[in-house]
Amino acid sequence: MKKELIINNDLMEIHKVTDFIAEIGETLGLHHDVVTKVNLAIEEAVVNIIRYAYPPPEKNEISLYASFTNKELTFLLTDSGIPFDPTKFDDVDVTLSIEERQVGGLGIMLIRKIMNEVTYNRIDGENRLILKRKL
Amino acid sequence: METNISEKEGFKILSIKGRLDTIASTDFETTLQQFIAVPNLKLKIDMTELTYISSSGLRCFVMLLKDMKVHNGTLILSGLTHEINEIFDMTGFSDLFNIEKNQ
Repeated sequence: MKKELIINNDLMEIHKVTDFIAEIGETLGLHHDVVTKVNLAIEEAVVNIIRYAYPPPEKNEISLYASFTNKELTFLLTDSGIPFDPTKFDDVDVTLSIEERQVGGLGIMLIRKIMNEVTYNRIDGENRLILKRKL
Repeated sequence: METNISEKEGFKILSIKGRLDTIASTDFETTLQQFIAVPNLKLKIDMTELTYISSSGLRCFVMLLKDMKVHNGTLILSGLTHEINEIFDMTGFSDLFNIEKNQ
């Protein structure tokens, strides 16, 4: 299975990502629970790119390429925005009380928990984020 | 996403239905404004029909709880589905919030 989606750097495009993941789920006959989690990880990654890679009002595209081989679902997210490595952020300290707990950082944490592998590369002026999930 | 507010046994009940994704969380944050800085508020959030939540939605929950702690409020979450429960476990929210067990 190989599938590609190109979206604009606009939060409203998130709906297209949801449909894209749902289609992959149907094609591969994935359990609803897995589709929800993968959808969540990809939404978080795409939202990060929309928010940080392209300073507004710059309009640009984000490519989402999905493939499935050897029981592994691989996503490659590519954008030509400013260098942004989501893997360099630390996870939220979940042991902190509500008073001390920070509000941000949950997105990358969810990506790490859901995906088995998260790799960031900066190649030829592009951010390339590879997310892998074993099925 | 749709929300509904009612009252029962001294608690305000906020029911959330559908997907609380990045887009919907902007609306959700607006809905929550009425519960911010209210002294001694008793609020229950019914999540029976909440099917999806992203980090933006989770952030709204953290901000609400932080505020309610300061204003001596009581926040109870109820009706979490298996999938929402898993996301709450992943982010440590299960220990942070008062979650009513499903009957």
